Amino acid sequence: MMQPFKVTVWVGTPVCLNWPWIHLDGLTAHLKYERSLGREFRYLPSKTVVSQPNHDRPLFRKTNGVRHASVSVFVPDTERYTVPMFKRFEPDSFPRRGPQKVNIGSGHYRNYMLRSVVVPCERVEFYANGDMDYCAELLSGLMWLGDDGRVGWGKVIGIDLEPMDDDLSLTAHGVAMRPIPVSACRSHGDDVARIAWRAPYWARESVDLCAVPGCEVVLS
Amino acid sequence: MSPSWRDAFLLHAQTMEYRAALVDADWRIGDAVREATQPYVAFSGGKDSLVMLHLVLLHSPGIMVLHWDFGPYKMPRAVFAEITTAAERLGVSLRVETSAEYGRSGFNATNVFEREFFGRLEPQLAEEGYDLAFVGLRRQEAIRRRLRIDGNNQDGLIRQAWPVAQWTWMDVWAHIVSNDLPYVSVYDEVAGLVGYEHARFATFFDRDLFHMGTEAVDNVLHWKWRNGPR
Repeated sequence: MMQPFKVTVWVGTPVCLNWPWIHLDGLTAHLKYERSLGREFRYLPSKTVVSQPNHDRPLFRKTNGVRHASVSVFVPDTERYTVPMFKRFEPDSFPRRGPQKVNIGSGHYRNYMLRSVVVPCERVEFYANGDMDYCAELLSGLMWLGDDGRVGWGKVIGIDLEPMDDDLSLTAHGVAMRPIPVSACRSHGDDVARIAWRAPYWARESVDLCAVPGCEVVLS
Repeated sequence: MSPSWRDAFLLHAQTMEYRAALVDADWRIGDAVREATQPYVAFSGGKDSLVMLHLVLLHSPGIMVLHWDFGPYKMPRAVFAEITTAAERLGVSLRVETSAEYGRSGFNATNVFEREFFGRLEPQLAEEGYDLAFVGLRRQEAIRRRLRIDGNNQDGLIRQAWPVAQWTWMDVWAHIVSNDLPYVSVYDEVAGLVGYEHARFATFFDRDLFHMGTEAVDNVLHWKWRNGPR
């Protein structure tokens, strides 16, 4: 049964971001693929879009092709900060080929620093309209939220889903809760940009001129 | 810029360290201007070249100021407009040079500056008679730059002078704030995340810089420009 609901993800460590928001439909699409493909998921091409499995079951309601799934709302919405991570070559586990040294200043084994943006929040909220039970089932496999979960960021410590009376997944109080293509809006504010509006959010094919989250919109 | 940062920089502008840096730069510029017959200023739009341009203009008001435009993908037009406006406020008419490859290759353009500037433009400038370039390199920025400045490694056809080589980031910001120089707004955005000591102005979504971790910061801060000009 399709119904409006709210997803609250409790996190034990700050959430690392490589994009200002986390998209609920992007997150569930990822979990669906992981579930249906198993380990094969890891061998999918990283730059080209692979079509969705046929046994797909509708998860979110759609309006003009836009899924009723909001972007993340960080609570408390504290100031972002950056942390440097260092990618270092470890010579101990490297097979020695004679007396030469490995160049760590440049080249393939170069040491370098990566700067990541993190949000020190206690929970992340999403708003959706769709099949709550299916969503709960998918999200039960969620181990971390955001980028660089492998190093401990965004560790999920609990997920709550609760039905709601109002649908806040597309717009809330007149502002967009997710990227909405301007073609799906009757009117919109000045805050528009060419960003992705559907999963996969990393793909060029998903990019269109959109009213960005936080922009005033009236849907057509 | 927050009032507390501004106060800190204004206080630093009263210190002996800042005054010593100012005298050092002034001496280097005067020396270079006397030796050269036709110098020019390389102006990137960043804080260091802004300060350097301001100081050089005190010696040679009519000097040619060259700006390399990295194209609409790597330097969004809004930021480019801020750079040209800043130059205008300093009373300078910029000579803007660019490469058509930025438009053709978009975000995929790599190493274009090295090829086009050093391969095409610099020989052309040398033919036009320019024999000295003021460049805003600082020792404190990176180990490579420190080694380059200490070793006086000149890597182009035209000799370079580095007037602000000895300046610290505090000196630079103190000069900007105390002289009310117009700087690009990106600094304030980035400083909110990493502080003014680490805030750098570079090309956006530039694959040449991804190995330094700029991609994550660009994606979060400058996401509106991620998919190119519109």
